[in-house]
Amino acid sequence: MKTAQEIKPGQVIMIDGSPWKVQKNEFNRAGRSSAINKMKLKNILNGMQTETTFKCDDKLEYIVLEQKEVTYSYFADPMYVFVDSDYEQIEIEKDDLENVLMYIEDGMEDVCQAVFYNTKVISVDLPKTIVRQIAYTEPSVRGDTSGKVTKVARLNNGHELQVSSFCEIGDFIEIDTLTGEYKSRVKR
Amino acid sequence: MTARWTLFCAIIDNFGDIGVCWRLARQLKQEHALDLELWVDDWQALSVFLKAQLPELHDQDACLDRDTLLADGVLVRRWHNPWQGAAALDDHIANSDVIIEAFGCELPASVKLALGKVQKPVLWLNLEYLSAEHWIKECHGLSSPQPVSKQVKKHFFFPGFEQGTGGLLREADVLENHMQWQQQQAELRQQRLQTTGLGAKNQADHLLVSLFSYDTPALSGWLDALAEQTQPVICFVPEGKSLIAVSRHFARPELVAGDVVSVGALSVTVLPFRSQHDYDELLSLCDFNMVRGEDSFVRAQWAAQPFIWHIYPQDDGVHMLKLQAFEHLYLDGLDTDAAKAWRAFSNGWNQGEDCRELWHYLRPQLSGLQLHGRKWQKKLAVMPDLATDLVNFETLFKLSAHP
Repeated sequence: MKTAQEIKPGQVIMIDGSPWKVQKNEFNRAGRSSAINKMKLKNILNGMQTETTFKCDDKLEYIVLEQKEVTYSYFADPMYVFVDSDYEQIEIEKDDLENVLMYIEDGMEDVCQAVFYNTKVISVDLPKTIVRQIAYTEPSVRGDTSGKVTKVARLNNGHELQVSSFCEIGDFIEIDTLTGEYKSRVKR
Repeated sequence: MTARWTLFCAIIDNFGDIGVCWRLARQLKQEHALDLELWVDDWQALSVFLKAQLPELHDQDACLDRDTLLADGVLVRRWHNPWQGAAALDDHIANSDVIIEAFGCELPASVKLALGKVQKPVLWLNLEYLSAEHWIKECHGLSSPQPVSKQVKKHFFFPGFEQGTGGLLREADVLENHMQWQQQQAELRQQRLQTTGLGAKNQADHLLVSLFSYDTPALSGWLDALAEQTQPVICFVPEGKSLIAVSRHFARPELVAGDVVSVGALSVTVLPFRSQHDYDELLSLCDFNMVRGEDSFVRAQWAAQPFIWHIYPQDDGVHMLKLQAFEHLYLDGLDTDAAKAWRAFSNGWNQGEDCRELWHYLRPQLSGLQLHGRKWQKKLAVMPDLATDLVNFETLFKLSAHP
């Protein structure tokens, strides 16, 4: 059992005997010390989607699923195709990649984890830290090397995030895939 | 057959929780004719509270000896902690048509077990705190699957200020009461001054304010500002937490009901713990109200007089986000100067700053804020009230359970 606030997107919880994949889990503070988790769920067996709320300390039954290392290969609308170490292709729908879709780009070499429920792939997790290249950002602010001042940068796949103001076009940056935040500039 | 509702109320501090639950219970009983039981855990606090509401319950000790009370048609029952319910009592509660956990309190474990055995649809509601935040609308009414029984459906219910939320507590007669009080304002003000030992004062010349806030360092600067006004001010302070800071400001070890303290233009008069009806009237008669938490905050909006909300402070400062969310809705349509003055005072007060100068900035805006308050009241009154929304929610639940 895990509490509602411990459940992460991609994990599967059991409700009334059915497995539901958590697509989103938003934490909101209510009054006093109470908090609420709003979850977007997808039924793995029939594809039905729903939204639910839980008190943050409600206990939920979650199941540990089989995982396999995969790398991204290509997009064949509407499916994203990954391959495992045996070059076996694994297809997954856009909906099931909701939390990582912004980091998917052609040529990426990250070793990902495909998650299975009864042989069906239900999600793909990226490494906690990934490296991406900045496709566009405004010119750097002179003299500021503290990293505290930020600006918007666009990655090669169009995703935008806040980066330190000294980052430039062509720079490689580390991103935390759990928080979606820029971590640092790296040399390549 | 009359629907049977059970409402659980855990009193955390002060009388805010029971204030809201009592209003809701009375309204569900009196306006919707429900068979209603209100379970309350702090019997001592309940007795003090009920004594103020219903003077006929004058013998507080007798109240404390009982485990059930019939008050204003509402059956109030003692929620022992730890729970001392027998199996039959657990089954009785579990077989309600609607069970409400007010402010996220937890049902006793044995009641949850009993819910697993029920053979009829039961609606289990988590009635949450009032907030103006956007996510409230997205979460209002959503299900919360619980591993008890397929017959029992739990949902979250959020009071709020906008369509798409559960609305606000508003009894059928509240707006009419305020209209009548404000029509007789001069006479009622004079009566109130007489009963508080200030009868010789001519109320027409005075600014009347009420103070019902949490303890805050911001209070001192505000009282100084009131004292240095040219217009005389009477500040009514009902017994409660506000008195701590007021006593400190006047260097008094303690202030009690009936005390009057005067300095400069300001006279502070301490009122005994009020009934909800009497407090509503006070809000209606005052030119400015300092309110707090949830219950008095909502009542001030029905009174439609200028007010400042002292929001319940949370450790991580998240209450300021909630305050800003309310400001965003409430100040919409107010002219820029008045909105700036209100926001500055509100933020200053809620962050414990010196509000002396901020009051002098806000004071000239009170007439504009009063007009705005009336528009805001009308806007809110268009929405269904919380009790009606709850009843409508149950109707839809029954239809879905028995299509």
